[in-house]
Amino acid sequence: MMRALIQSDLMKVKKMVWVMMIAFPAGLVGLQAVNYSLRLDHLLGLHDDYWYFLLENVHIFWPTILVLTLTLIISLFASVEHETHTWTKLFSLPVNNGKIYLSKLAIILTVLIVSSVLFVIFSMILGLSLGFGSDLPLMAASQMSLYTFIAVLPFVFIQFWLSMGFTNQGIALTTGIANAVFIMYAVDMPTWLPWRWPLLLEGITTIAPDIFYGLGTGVVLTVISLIHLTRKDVTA
Amino acid sequence: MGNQTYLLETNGLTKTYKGAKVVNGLSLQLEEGEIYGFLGPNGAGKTTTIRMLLGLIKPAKGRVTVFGKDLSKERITILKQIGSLVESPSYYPHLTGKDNLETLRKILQVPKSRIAEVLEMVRLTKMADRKVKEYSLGMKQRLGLAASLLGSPKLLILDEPTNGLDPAGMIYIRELIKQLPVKYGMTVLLSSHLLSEIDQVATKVGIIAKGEMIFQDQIDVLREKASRKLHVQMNDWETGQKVLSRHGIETARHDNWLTMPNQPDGKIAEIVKELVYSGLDIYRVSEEIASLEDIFLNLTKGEETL
Amino acid sequence: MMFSNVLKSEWLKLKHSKVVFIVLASPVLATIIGLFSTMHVPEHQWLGTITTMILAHSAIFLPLLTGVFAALICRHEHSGGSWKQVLTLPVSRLQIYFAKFIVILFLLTLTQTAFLIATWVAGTLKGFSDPFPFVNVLMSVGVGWLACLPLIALQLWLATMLTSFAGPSVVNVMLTFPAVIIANSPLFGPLYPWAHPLLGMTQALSYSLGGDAGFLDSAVTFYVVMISSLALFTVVGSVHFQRREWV
Repeated sequence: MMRALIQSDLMKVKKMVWVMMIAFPAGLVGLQAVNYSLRLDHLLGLHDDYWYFLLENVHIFWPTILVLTLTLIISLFASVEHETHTWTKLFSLPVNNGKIYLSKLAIILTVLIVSSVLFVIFSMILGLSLGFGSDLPLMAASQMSLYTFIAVLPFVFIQFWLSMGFTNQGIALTTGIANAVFIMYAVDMPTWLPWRWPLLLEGITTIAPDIFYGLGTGVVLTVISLIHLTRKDVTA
Repeated sequence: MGNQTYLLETNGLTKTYKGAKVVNGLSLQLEEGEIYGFLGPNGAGKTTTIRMLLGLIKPAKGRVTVFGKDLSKERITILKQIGSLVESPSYYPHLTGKDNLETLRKILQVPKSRIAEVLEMVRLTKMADRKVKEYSLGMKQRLGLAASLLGSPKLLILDEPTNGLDPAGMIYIRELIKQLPVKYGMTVLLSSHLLSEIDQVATKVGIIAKGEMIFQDQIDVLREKASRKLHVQMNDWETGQKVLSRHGIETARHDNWLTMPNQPDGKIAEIVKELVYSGLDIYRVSEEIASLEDIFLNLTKGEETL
Repeated sequence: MMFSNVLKSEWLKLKHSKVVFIVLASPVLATIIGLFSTMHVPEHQWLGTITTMILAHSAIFLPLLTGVFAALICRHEHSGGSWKQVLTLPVSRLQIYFAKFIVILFLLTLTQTAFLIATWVAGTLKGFSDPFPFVNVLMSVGVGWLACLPLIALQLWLATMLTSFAGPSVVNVMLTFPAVIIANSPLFGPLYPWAHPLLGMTQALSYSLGGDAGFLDSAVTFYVVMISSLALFTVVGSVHFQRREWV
């Protein structure tokens, strides 16, 4: 059943989602490519480990970009149903209501993971073309990408709840954009604030408590939001 | 058309989508005070035509003249006196029914009291202060109708106005539409895919099929088209046929039945007399009347109706 | 006379749309960021906090907000099927287009005003005793408002064209994000409209204080690009809206 649901959801996905999945990591790495080509000598002089420093640089805006991506993707998923008023139809299908949301959630998470993997690949390509040698820091890059992904999970569920729960996507988008901006300024915030977690301030390859906070909060929020969404009345 | 001036008139209206002619050379004439039933199966080009009449889309060829003015040149002046309801009703779900009308009233500049009037006309007064997202489909449709009446238009264009209404609502709206020309001097064009619906309100009918106007006249003319036939059953049809052809009546045969066009009463009596004098036994004489639905189906033959 | 009626009608449609929440989001957020800000400029008590707040507000939030406003203002026409109703009213399509434009401008004005107040609130909460540099922040807020005009023109065009609410925002994010980097380049910054809110607001603040933030090499380029992109997006958007077939 779940498979059929996912297949049906995949048919409804707008092309824009695939474009974002590829364009955002590509664009971000592209920006660093510009940055490096403009002042290569200066940047190489800042750190001994070229590869590690490159990863740190590409990671600076990655949490923000990732939160923006997930905000928009989730909103696109929700808009398809809101704008065509198909929620009622979906919920009258002979499937468990929770599964309807789980199917969408599964696709959204997959898109984000693929985007994260592409981000690693694009970063490797940039390093190679800058001549940093073939000793690829795949482990470090994967850690960086994976930890960031886990740390943004709470935002996935906040956005999921807002986008699916309210017809007015303005609220979800504004909250998402606000979160994305907030992350850029979260360096000085106390550790318990979720905006700080994806920044991986303890080092991009260090397993810090922040990541577990992200995972824990993410799971708790999923459960709460799914329970709320499946119980609420379907009106539109 | 000559010296006659129509309230609304189109000449050779044509609309092409991706090479296919959705509306083809359509000429439509509507006189003041009429209720014009615009009839056709789904997908025949009704909505496309109506969108062209309102200037929502531009015709590839042809002209629309309303109140004697060219729509492509004086759209806004014309629209001031037109009320419309196109396909599904338009609404702002987060606003109340009253506020929905208020968004239009501000632009149309009619007195505030008009809102209560039109709400009363479509029997939505009780729901006026509820948000439209709580409305049923029929209520939304009635709100759309109220919106189209808001500006006290001279011409009302309604696309499938009884869509989504329950039987009681349908009857009520039908009666309301019938009164509009009498009470308020409005002229109405309404489209439908159901002949029975048009039959009950319209004074004039236009039938469109595959983008072309195949019939346009007073509804009585359409009713007359309901061709009647006369069937006569007898023991020896060969003799019967000969006798009748001597009287200039061509017949077709089915078993021992002879079928001919309907005749005036006197003529029928004469035919029967002749047949009996020729020594034939007459078993039955019967008349067949084709319903309006049959005519409609006949006219739009070959058109897919689903 | 007629146009003001169209405006009033648009304004009424914003009722119950939770637009206040969106208008206040960035100023509230900037206040929080301002409170946490550790940036300190020795000669000027307010400057550090205000600069941090301006950066947070203008770099990303403000350009993205224009997209949200534009989508919000067209949302119900798309989902409630009301374009056909609005466009059969006896007003020209251009009037409808520009009524929407002006409502967005008004919402932007509210946001900028709220931001102005937010800077004062943040500083006051931090216990600043120097007088609030009202004129300087006002200049910055005003230039930021101007710098958003081309973006609004583009976003309104996208919002009337795309039926999806998130659609215009996706395009907006793709174009806004590079602005953070591009704004750093004195050469390309002024050429890129999405960098304009950031450049405009920071530059106007420092200029009014008698300094130069160094973001802008050429103020002329900035204004030329701003005006020409505004003209371009407005003309293309409104012509497209006017000619479009509403099926």
